[in-house]
Amino acid sequence: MSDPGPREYLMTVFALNINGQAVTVDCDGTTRLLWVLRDILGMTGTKYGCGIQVCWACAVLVDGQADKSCGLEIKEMVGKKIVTVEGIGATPQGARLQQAWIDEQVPQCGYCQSGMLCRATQLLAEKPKPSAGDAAGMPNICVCGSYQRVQKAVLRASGQ
Amino acid sequence: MTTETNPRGTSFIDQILDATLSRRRFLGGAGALAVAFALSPRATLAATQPRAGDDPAGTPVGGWVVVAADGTITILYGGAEMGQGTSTGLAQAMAEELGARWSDIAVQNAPVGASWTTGVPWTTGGSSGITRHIAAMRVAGAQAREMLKAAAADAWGLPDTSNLITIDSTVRNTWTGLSLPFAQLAAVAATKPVPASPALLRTGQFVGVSVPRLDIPAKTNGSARYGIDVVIPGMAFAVVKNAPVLGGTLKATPKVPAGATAVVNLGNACAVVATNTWAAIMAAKQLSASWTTPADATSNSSAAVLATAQGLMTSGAGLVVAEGNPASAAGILGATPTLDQTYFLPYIAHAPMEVPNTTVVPTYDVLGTLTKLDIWASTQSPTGVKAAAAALVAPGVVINVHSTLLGGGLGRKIETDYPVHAVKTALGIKKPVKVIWPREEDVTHDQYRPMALSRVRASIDPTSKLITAWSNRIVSPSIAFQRGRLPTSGIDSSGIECAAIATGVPYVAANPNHAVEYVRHPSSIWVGYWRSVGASINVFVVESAIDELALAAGMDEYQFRRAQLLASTDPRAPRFLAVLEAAAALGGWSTPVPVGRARGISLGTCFGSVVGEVVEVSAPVAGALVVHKVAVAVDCGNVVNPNAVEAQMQGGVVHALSATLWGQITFTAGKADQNNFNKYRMLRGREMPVVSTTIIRSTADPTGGVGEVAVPGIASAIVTAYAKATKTARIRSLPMFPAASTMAG
Repeated sequence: MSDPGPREYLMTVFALNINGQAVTVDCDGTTRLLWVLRDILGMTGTKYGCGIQVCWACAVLVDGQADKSCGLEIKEMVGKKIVTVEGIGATPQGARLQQAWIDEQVPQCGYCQSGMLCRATQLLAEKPKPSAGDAAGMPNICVCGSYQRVQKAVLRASGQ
Repeated sequence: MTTETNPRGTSFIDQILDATLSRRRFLGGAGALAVAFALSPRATLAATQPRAGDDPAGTPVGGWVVVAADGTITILYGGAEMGQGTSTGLAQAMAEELGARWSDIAVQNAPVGASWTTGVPWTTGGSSGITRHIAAMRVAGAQAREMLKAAAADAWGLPDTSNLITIDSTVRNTWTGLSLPFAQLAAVAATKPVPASPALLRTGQFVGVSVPRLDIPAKTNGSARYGIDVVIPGMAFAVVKNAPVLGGTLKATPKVPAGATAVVNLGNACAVVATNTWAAIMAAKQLSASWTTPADATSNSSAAVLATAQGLMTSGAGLVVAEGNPASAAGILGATPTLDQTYFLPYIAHAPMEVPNTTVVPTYDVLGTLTKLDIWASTQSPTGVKAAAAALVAPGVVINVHSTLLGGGLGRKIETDYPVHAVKTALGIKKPVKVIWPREEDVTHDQYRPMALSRVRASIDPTSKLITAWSNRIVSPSIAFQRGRLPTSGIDSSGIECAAIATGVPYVAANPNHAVEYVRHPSSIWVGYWRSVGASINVFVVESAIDELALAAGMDEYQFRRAQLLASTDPRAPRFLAVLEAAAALGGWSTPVPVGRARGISLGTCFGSVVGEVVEVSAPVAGALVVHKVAVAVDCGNVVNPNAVEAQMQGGVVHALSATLWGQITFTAGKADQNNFNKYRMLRGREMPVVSTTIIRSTADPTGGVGEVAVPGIASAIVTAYAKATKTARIRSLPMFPAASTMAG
């Protein structure tokens, strides 16, 4: 392009740690983690829902905390441990949740479940025996309305 | 928009919808369906080859069953898997006829073949995913079974297959006890003739059983591929920017903004193309585009739409009588009917979690002439997408539509507006491209559930408490009219669905004193098929009015409904009564209501199923509402997967609650005022009631839909329970809490 545009369009290389693997990406530093995962790395398990940090469909774990990847600039992700739905199965909590999701037949369309599972993985890591209210308190929007089964599955995964 | 005809709608889709809505007539032609199916094997697969690597590995046996060397049996299914479990349900029917072992079964979308377009369109709407295809799937399974048996007879040197059965993915000789696995027989079986009308076994091994859904494991680990997840090496990424005012068009193709690689003029929108979606989103924000403003923009404001509706309600200008005799009813109603109330429902958006998106790969020959389009669309209608794409290119261009999982459909993805945008974008840049509508475009340029203003006048006999006369005038935009297919009668069949006795609850048998009038609202705001369509409007109105009549009669709402149905001479009344009683029992209607709580009840019908619902709510502070419990009784006839039915009842309740409590799209001069979830609130986990479900096995209506049927009855039951809990005046205008319709992350 003849017009180089403002500074944020300048490309930079960022070293990331995603699901335990070292990855480098070459992009503008303000590019959101969601789109780096999906469009640059081809990791499409993380979903776009609203783009305004409301629906939690895009949630991933950043240093163990579920966060909305549509709002995270890639330049802020350097040095952090990022875990996506493709990687939660490597954690004991994530693996138990995935099985519980199948046992309780949780997903309908399933589109929100990547974010739901990441958020639930954080919950179990912080609170091995969460209450039903804790499970219900997860903020992820599920338009299909899988909440009742999500709550049962979280309790099942925690051995309750 | 300058005309009242939706330029984006296609009559093709509506023909499909018509077929969906008259499903019972369609199923009546099951013989013809089986023949059409028998003609379609394998040739359909071949006709669409190559399919970019998405054919299942293995040997096709009869066209719709593919047997791999490792024993995996891939069942091809038609229609959309958007979360309702259709793919598993159809596989259950086919696997049962085939005699397969469930753990061997995999499913994959069938290619959109020409032979299907005449018989069973690859379109899922009207809760028809199972009902439309199940007969054909049974036949396909039986065809493959007979071909595998013929191959086994060859292997064993038998003169015929009379002593052979299939079980656990093997053919067994019942005399010798010997078995041969399907995988060993597939190659020979594939050469056998496809039997036109094989016997159907209907063993009940899988149909009616809650087998685990086949699509769920991939939905827990990120491996499930939705339309938006399609990756084509080297593809570009684009976002759509629609004309800000509905009906507007681009005056000129805008300059390519910084960060973008191209801008494609789509007429009513433009596509901003970049190397990734984020770059496209940011570039679109800097787009400098000039748009036309339609002459009727100012009339597409919510206040103006309501004023027009009120005027039409009073004048009745252009009304058509859809049922009964209004003059006869008026003679009984007189000047002071028992009830005379008007109800309002707003426009609402679909907002499926996965936004509209399509990926297109155009192929050109050495002369630069387009030869082929490969389209991956998150769509409820691959058939419609194929037709819409064909209209954009020269005859002879090969069009392959590859179906994907849908991250929700809800009726939004039966439209072909967004695939058309994607095809135009790909043709504009002559490259593979993934085109998405950002959430803001999805919410502001939906084809909305129509608004409606609906007045009910009704009277009851003071002694018997039975309804003596009923007159309902509905003012609402017509989905059919906007697509140029309103019949000459002027009656929009979905506009009156469930308001007319013929398609509603038979509280009375059809008679002249039960009158329904339909007045088409002229607004050009785009309207479409929102989950449960007309029932989402009319069940709220009818059931609200029934509750008000019960109050006037001094009767409990359940007993009032029961009394009407017991007295009704409509032959369908016993089926509805059974569902009502089951819902009341499940919801504990006759048990004491906990302090501070109140209950509501409703009865409705939708797409061949009957649903009764009991809700239990409290209102701890004014203006707040807690929904504690919802009991759902559903009679959907022949149940394929009870666990999946339960999931759809839970999901329908949630979807209906979001709409009832907060859902509305309002307009200012042709622009939607809400554009994302922060202004279009969805129910969250902490607001989830405990939903219990009971499935009534009935043969009254062989097969009804499931995906939409729990939606219509929620609103009136919630409204009534809230009025009782708070001892406040009844709410007759939805949503109940418009001031609370925002949400944060």
